[in-house]
Parts: sequence; structure tokens; C-alpha cells
Amino acid sequence: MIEIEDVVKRYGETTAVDGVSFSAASGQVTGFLGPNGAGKTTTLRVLLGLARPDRGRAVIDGAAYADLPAPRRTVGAVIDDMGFHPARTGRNHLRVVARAAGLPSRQVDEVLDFVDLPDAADRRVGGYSQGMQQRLALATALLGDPAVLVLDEPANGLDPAGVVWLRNLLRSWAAEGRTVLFSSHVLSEVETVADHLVIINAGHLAADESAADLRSSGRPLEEVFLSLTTAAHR
Amino acid sequence: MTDLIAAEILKLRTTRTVWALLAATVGVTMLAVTGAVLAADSGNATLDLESDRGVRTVLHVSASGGIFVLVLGIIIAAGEYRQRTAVGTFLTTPRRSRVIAAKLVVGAGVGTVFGALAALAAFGAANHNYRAKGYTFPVDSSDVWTILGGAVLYAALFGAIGAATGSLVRNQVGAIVGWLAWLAVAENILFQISPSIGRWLPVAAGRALVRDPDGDLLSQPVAAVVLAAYAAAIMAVAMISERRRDA
Repeated sequence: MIEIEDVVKRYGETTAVDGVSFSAASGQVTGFLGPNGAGKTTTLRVLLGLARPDRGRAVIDGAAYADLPAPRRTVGAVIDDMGFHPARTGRNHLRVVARAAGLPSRQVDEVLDFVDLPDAADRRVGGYSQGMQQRLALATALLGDPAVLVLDEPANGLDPAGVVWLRNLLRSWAAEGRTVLFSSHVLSEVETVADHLVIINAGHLAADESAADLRSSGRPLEEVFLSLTTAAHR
Repeated sequence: MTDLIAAEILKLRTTRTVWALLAATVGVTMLAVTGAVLAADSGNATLDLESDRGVRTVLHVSASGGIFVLVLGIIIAAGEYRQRTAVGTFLTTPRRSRVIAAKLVVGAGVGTVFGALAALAAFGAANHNYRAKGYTFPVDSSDVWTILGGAVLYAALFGAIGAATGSLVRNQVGAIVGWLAWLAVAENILFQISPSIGRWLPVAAGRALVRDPDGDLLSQPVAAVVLAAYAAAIMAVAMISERRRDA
């Protein structure tokens, strides 16, 4: 269960997120949508303790990220500005995370198999394609077998087979009663997999409703999205 | 904390930077010691190489490789921002002061290892070059061992100072350039203006630690405490400023 409560985040004169509140329930896939610059990544960075909100708070199962006793076992995250050392192999990157998080090293091999990266695991990340880096990022998120997934544009760089694989992963994760919150630009992708949709625009919450309700309205998601996210500019 | 320290060591072992800097540290140390012997033995030199002053003149340069340890310390911390790995590190350990402390410990630890290998190289180079020039290297002189011990401590403390600086500044190139400017120019000028204040500054304290015979420097133990205090102070400022900063 993720709760975002009245979060405000300013960068100088710019207010990137302006009083956003929503929650992502466990057992559901929550899609997080918005145009570029709407404040999606900033909201997720606040949730993950990477950025300090000017107001409000974001909690995961009732606790701020920084107060989680074992963050990697509780939350698996993929975030936009997370990089890899180009000279380190994929396997060694995961070994470092496992070591720092106190996770058993066998989980490194397990996630490498799971994201279908074992052949590339002992090559330097500098030689990875964008899709392989994205798989490694997902492997890092899954390393601690977390109950909550927070994924910023997880489909970026994945090939069609990867996108299908990711979709099944998110579904099965939620089916096990875990929480999934993911952001995306790709409306069709979100529509296919999400149980609940949160749309933000220019730092404000524009929609927060179940995918079923949205479908029953009969309007395609694209139309709803465009009407919500362009209205503010008129 | 043990896990964090082990992870920081694993980070170092899984890239090549650390080996390049180790080679540089040992290589520069050997060159510096060899150069010091040759300079002291040149035609117009009046220094007795076998005297206490001779040993100090030759061996105090065994800290010359310490600059690479300082750079390594900076890379341990600021390198996370250069390679954009800091976000992942803070996702694993959101209490950033723990990360900063672990990096300082690893900077000091790796510095100790580098310093020990450099001291060994300095001893070998001095011994070899004394013999080559027809002198006896006074291995039973306590000066030899206090200086080489000081060189190990020098590397450990500058490794810690580097790691603390990297955490504070975050910009790897900026931190390295800043320290180089301080070491090469700024502190020298301050020392010329006021030696009584200047001897408390990091470079002069480092020179005291390896018992540089020139100048009115601090005693070895005081110099060690002063350098440790610099490391601790920079670390404290880094921890406090990290509370307000975004990753």
C-alpha cells in the first residue's frame, strides 16, 4: 500500500508537484500517467526518499522510505536517473546491491535468470543495449523479493517480447497481493495492464479512478487523457 | 554497517580504477625515493645520507603517492554521482549518513593498504639505491620506522579526507581539482604568510607525519590528530548538508 499525501515539491521558482494525493492499493497494478514534465518522476523520487518534499508526505505500508527497516526487501524500484557503472558487470552490480542490503547472493543468480539476462551477466554494463540495462534495472528492483514495486517508465527500451514479459510480471506480482505502481507514456500499455489509473498534469492530480470505471464510460483512454492534460493549458 | 563496508569494498574491486591508482601510488613512491637518494648524492650535495637528517630527507618523500589515495577517496564518494550510481546506493541505504561513514572507513582502510605497500616499496627503493651508491641504509634507525609508519598513516588519513570531501562536494572533477590547487598552490602561500598557522594546515600536517626535516612542523602524533580532525569535520559537514539535499 502506497500513500501519497498532499505532496508539494518545488525546484527554485518551479513547482514540480503541487499538492498531489493518491494511493496505490495492494493487489492492484496502479498506472501513473501524465505528459512529460507533469511531475511523475518527481513524485516517485519523493516516494523513494530521494527528494525531500516541501510539504506533505509519502509512505509505504505506513512508513516513509527512509524509515523502512529493510528497504530493498520491501520496495523494488526502477527510477529514471539510476545508472550503472559502465566498467562493472551486471552480475557484480547485483552482488554489490545484495551485499549492501544483506541479501543472500543466490538471489543474484535467481533474478538474472528471471529477467533472462544470464548470458550477459558477466559482461560490462557499458556494452549493454538500453533494453538490457532496463532488464538489469528490473532485476535490481526484484532482488529483495519486495512486496511493493515502484517503477518509473519500466517499459523504456524493452523490445516487444520484453514488454509482454513485463506486463505478465506486473500482473502476477499484483495477483500475489503485492503493490505495483508504475509510470508510463504508453497509454495502450497502461490500459492493458492497470487496474487503477492516476493521471497528473502540471503538478496537479487530474484523475484517480479504476480502470473499470474508465472503461464503462465508453471513452477511450487516449481521449480522456488528452482532455484532462491539455485542458489546463487552455 | 559491516554489510555496507563490504559492499563499498566490492564496488572498488569490481572496477579497474583501484588497481590503476595502486600502481601509480607504488610507482611514484619508488621514483620519489630513488630521486631523493640521487639528489642527495649528487656532486655538490653536502648531506650525509647515513645521518638522521639524511634518512628523513630521503624517506619523507615516501608519502608522495598519497595524492593518488586522496584521489581514490574522492572517487569512492563522488564517483557515485559521476556514474549515476548514487540513486541506487541511497535506495539500498536511505540513511545517507551511514553511506558517508562507510565510505570514510573504506577510504581510510584502502589508504592503509596502499600506504603499507608504498612504505614497503619506499624501503626497498631506499635500501637498493643506498647500496648502489656505496652507502649503508640504516635499517636499525628508529627514524626509518617512524617515517614509514607515518607514511602509512598519511595514506589512511588522506584516503579518509578524500572520501569525506567526495561526499560533501559530489563533483568528482571539482573535488580533485580543488584539492590539487590547495596542495600545489594555496596552502604554500598561506604557509609562507604565517608558518605558525600554516603548520596546522593539511599539507604541513602531512609533512609532519612523515617527519619532513624542513620547517617548524607539528609533532607526529599531533599531526595525525589534526588530519583525523579534518577528515571528521568534512564528514560531519557532508552528513549535515546531506539532510537537506536531494539525491
